[in-house]
Amino acid sequence: MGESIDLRNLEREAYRAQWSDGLIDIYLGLSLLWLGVMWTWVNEFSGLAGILPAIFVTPMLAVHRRFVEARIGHVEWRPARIGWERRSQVLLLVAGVGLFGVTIGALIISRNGGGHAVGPGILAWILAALCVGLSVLLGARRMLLYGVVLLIGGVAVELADAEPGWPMLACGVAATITGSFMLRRFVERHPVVRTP
Amino acid sequence: MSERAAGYGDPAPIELDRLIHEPARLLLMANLAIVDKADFVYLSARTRLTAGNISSHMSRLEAAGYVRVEKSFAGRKPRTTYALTETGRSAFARYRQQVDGLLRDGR
Repeated sequence: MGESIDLRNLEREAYRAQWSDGLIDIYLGLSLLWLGVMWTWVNEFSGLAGILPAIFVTPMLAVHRRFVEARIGHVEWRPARIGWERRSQVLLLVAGVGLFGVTIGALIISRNGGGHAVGPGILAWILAALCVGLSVLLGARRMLLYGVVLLIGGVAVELADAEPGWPMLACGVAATITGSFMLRRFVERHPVVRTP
Repeated sequence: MSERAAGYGDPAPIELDRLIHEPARLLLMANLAIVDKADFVYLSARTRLTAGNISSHMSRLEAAGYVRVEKSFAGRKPRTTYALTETGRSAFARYRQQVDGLLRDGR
């Protein structure tokens, strides 16, 4: 057995299990694919592409909650966990709004003849930072791997002066495939439990 | 008079809470101790105990005042939620202390 059995590990494991359905990975993957397509081939509205994933985050979380609660139950966490979760969410929200601000700013500057306001790798690096934040929030190490893919992809497009969407496409494919496998495993391991 | 009858070296008897000490109930208590409250599905998924087992153990813990049971509806579905009471949390903390002390390596 890898981890020792103590209450802290038990709590961490129970919390992590709530996010092991893979739906958030699929959501992240599809969002990155969408952003990647927009930033690679549809440059016209690429700065606004982040709106769609932002709109879908609430329905995705609602679907995730119903799906998970039917299989591994409904939990109300202890105040310490709730406080930590809220602080992490605020940080992620700030990072997300920051990302949106950067893309809008870049769009406006380039529209006004300012050329490339930001290097092609910057967006991938900001998204990599968001993945690291998600990794901490969800206790999911795989998010770190997505961050590494984005980080390396960002370096590659900077060096090749390629379109900024390529790292997003690469990471989007990785996250969608990972999420699909996780979803399948989750459904197999956790059938719907009927309350007596 | 024998040494035992005289009481020399007799350790104080360790009185573990037998209600918590039973393996299935210990598992249920531990899984409830890490959350504020949780429903039946959570306990079933975390412990892999059968529905009948969970219900009977929870009835005993509820009777002892260790667990509070709430019945509600989530949409149209009935939901049974369990939470440790203050008494239950204190009893569990005391039990942990006792077992920690008992199993601690004294060398």
